[in-house]
Amino acid sequence: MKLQLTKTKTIEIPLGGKGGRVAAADMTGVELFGGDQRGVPAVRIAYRKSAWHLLAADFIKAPEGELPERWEDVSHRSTWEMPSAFQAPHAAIAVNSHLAVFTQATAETILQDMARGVPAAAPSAMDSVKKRFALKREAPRPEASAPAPAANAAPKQLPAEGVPAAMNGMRFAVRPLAEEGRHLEAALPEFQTLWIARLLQEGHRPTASSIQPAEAALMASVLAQPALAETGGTGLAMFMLADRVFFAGYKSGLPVLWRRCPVKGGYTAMKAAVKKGLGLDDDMVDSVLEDTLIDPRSALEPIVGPILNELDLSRAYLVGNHGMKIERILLAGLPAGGMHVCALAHDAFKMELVQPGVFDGLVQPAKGEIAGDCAFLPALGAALAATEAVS
Amino acid sequence: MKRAAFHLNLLAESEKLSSSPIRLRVMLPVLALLAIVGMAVWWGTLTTQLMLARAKTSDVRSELAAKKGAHDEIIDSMTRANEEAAQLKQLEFYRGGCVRWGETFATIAEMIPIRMQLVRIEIPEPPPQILRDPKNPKRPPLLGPTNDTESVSVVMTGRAARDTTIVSFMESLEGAPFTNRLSRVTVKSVQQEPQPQKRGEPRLIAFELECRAADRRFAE
Repeated sequence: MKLQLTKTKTIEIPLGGKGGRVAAADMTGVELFGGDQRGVPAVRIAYRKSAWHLLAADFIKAPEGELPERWEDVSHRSTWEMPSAFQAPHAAIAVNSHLAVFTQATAETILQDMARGVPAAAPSAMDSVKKRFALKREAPRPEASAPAPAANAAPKQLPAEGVPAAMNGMRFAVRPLAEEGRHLEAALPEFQTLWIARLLQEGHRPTASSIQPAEAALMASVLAQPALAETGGTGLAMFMLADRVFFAGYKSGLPVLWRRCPVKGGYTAMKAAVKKGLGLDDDMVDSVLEDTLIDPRSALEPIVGPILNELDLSRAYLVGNHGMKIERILLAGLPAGGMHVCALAHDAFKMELVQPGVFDGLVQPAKGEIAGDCAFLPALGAALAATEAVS
Repeated sequence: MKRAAFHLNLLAESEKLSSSPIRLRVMLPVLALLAIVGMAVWWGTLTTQLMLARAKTSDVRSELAAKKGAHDEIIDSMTRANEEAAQLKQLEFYRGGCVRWGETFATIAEMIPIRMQLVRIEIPEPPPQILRDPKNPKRPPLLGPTNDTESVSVVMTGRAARDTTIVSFMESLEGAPFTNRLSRVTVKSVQQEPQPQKRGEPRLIAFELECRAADRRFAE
């Protein structure tokens, strides 16, 4: 049990039994600042009767305000309340931030990142206005919440596994990969972490129990997939998002690969290619990608081909370096056109791609099945990863 | 799947907030404050009660001091009353222990045979009694007897012409007229008186008889 005496002083009283840590069996996952016009994707899952149940999934109202870009903006505190369907005791928040880091790296690289600290943020709109009109403030106003600038401290060792560590204005978390010497590294500026942590108010359901970069949550979004469970937690997944593609490798239930596809592309590029290649309107593109009568593969091939080539490289790496046997590759994150990507992969690389449902592996609510939308993947992944203590 | 391996949580344990409406972080200081206030109230109540008790004690003491003279007088009066009541009771005992000898003496007078003369009838004083209380020698001596009964004897001194007359008289004293009055008549002494100077006068026998009389019973 932890007692916060003051803002900075906390005492911990070890309790018997489970070592003071209680498994979160009811979790709401949300993805913040993903840019979805429909709202904030939210998913609530609960562990009941030896199975994970999907309780709710919907787009909810976004919190007021923007994710702060500087320490000075943290003082603008925003509060957020979730609809009753999502009022689980805990919330896992997946955050999209251009200052966030999620990558696989060696210990030396992570230590260098920790020593570097907060990356230089893009100048704010007000700053550009000031430069344009040569406005100068007489004296800079000291901000109470902003830390005093100081020389970056050099970290001596990696943070403990799964324990967040603050270093040079950034919050780091590290997990080892199944490959020796490599780690998954997640980082977010300290001020963004604090701002997000206080979005959900104390004493109201839910409160934040986990903050993860959206990409980390995306990697965990397939943990409940039966296709992955059938192979003992070994497999390869390709996440095709609107403007980027990621490859994730899993080995015996542990992460072994996380790689961003160096080829620029994604669902937006696919739609643009189909629109241009077939001469369609915007409204027609989605239906064509889902239609079996029209074959858009010739238009998709220039976009998808290089991506599949990179996927094949990742597969070869896993097969060659880790001795993994990969028969099927999971395709996730693609709202439409998945069957054409699968067909292209089969034709060009003899790879079998399967596109499972977003909520496959979860018990659907009795009152009615919830349709799986790819936008729920990070929210679902955040919730699944945050329920780490429940098997 | 080992989900923990995928959980890269950037939120520190100390930053996690409780969704419970009862916040220990808030409740503990509040409870501590309430406990302190409660202790203060309790202490204040105790202090007030102590002050009130002290004031009351002081009042009672001054009242006692004021009443001490009257109280002593009352105690003295009660003591005296008790003693006088005890004396009255003793006197009542004496009234109960009073022996009326008139009738006995009248009967004796009738029973005295011819040629016998009683010179003296004496009722000896009872042995002296310890009338002072050994525990409280300052107390005035008790007026009454220390026992419920007191043995009484009668000594008769006289002269008779013959010894048979004395014996006859003794039998008379133990007879029916003196039942419950006299008993156990014994001869204390008997002797011949000197020869009479006149010729023809008989030589008398002096005697002294002792009779046990009925006990004096001191009762109300």
